[in-house]
Amino acid sequence: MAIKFSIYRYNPETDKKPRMQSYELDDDCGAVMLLDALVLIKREDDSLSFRRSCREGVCGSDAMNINGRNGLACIQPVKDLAQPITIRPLPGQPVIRDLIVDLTQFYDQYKAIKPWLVNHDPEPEIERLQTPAERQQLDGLYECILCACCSTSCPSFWWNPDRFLGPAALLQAWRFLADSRDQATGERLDVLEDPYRLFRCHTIMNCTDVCPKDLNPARAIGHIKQLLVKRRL
Amino acid sequence: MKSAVAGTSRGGLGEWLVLRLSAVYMGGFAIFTAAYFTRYPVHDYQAWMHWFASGYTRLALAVFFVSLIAHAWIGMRSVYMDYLEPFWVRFTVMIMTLLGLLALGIWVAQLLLQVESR
Repeated sequence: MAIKFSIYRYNPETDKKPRMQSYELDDDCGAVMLLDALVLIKREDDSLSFRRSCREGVCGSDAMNINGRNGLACIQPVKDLAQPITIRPLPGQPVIRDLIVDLTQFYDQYKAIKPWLVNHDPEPEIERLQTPAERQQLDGLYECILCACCSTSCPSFWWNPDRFLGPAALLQAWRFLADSRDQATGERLDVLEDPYRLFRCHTIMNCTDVCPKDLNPARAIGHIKQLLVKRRL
Repeated sequence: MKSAVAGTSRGGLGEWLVLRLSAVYMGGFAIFTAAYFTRYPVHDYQAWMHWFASGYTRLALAVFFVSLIAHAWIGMRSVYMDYLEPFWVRFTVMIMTLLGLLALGIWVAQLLLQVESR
C-alpha cells in the first residue's frame, strides 16, 4: 500500500496555470505528521516548495489547505487524512510558488491594529504589574501564532483582504483592548468602527473552526462589538 | 497599502445594531403571530378584518415592515459591498434597491392606512 498525495504546483515565472501533481509514499516511510511526508516528497522532487520551520505547531510557517481545510502540516497526522491527500496553498492569497503564498496583506492588516501596548505612564522600574485576573483576560488571545489559517478561510477576507482586517488581526485587536495595561482603548475603537475593518465579519465562524491553536477569533470579534455598543450607548 | 491610509468612515456599528434589533423584533413577531393564530384561528374575511382593524395589530405590523425594510437594506448593502466592486455598478444597484424598498414601504403604508379609513 502507498500513501497518495495530490499537490498544487505553480511557478508563476514559468507556468501558464497551476496544476495538481500526484505523489506516492510507501506506507512504511515513517511519516507521522503531514510535514514529515512533505519533507520526504521533497527529497525525491526538490522543486516542490513549501515553508516550514519549527515543525511542532509553534511558528505557523507551514499553514496550508489540507483536504479542503486550512491547517498546519506539522501537527496534522497523516493517518487521519482521506486519500489522495490534497494539498493546496492557503486560499485567496497570491501564490509565490507551489504552497508558498504572499501574506503581505495579512501582515499589513495585523500592523493596522497597532499590535503593541500603548501606555503613557512613566515606565516603572521593573515591570507593569497585572493582577492574576487581569492577566487571565489575555488567555486564548496571546497564543495566536499568526499562521493565517483563520483569515485565509474567511470569505469576508477573500472578498475584501485590503479593507477587512480579518479574524487574526481582530483577535489581536481584542488582545490589546482587553489588556489592563493598555491606555489606547478609545483610539483602537475609533480605528475599528468602520463598515469594512470590523463589520465585514458576518459571524461565518470558519476562523474558529480551523484555528490550529483552538482559539476563538469569532468570540473576540463579538467582544469588540459589545465594547463598541457600550461606548455608543 | 493605500486603503489603509484612507482612514475610517466611522460607521458600521449603527447598521449592525439595527440589523440585530430588527431581526429580534421580526423573530418575536413571527413567533407571537404564529402562536396567536394557532390559539385563535382565523376562518373568514370578517375575522381577518377584525384582527387587522385593531390599532395594536397595525402598529405591530408597521414596526414589522419598518424592521423588514431596514433589515433587507442593510443585508443587501452588505452583499453589494462584498460582490459589486465597480463603483457605478454598486451605486446603481444600491439606488435601485432603495427605490424598490421605498415602493414597498409606501405600499405597506397605504394598506395599513386604508384599513383605518374603512
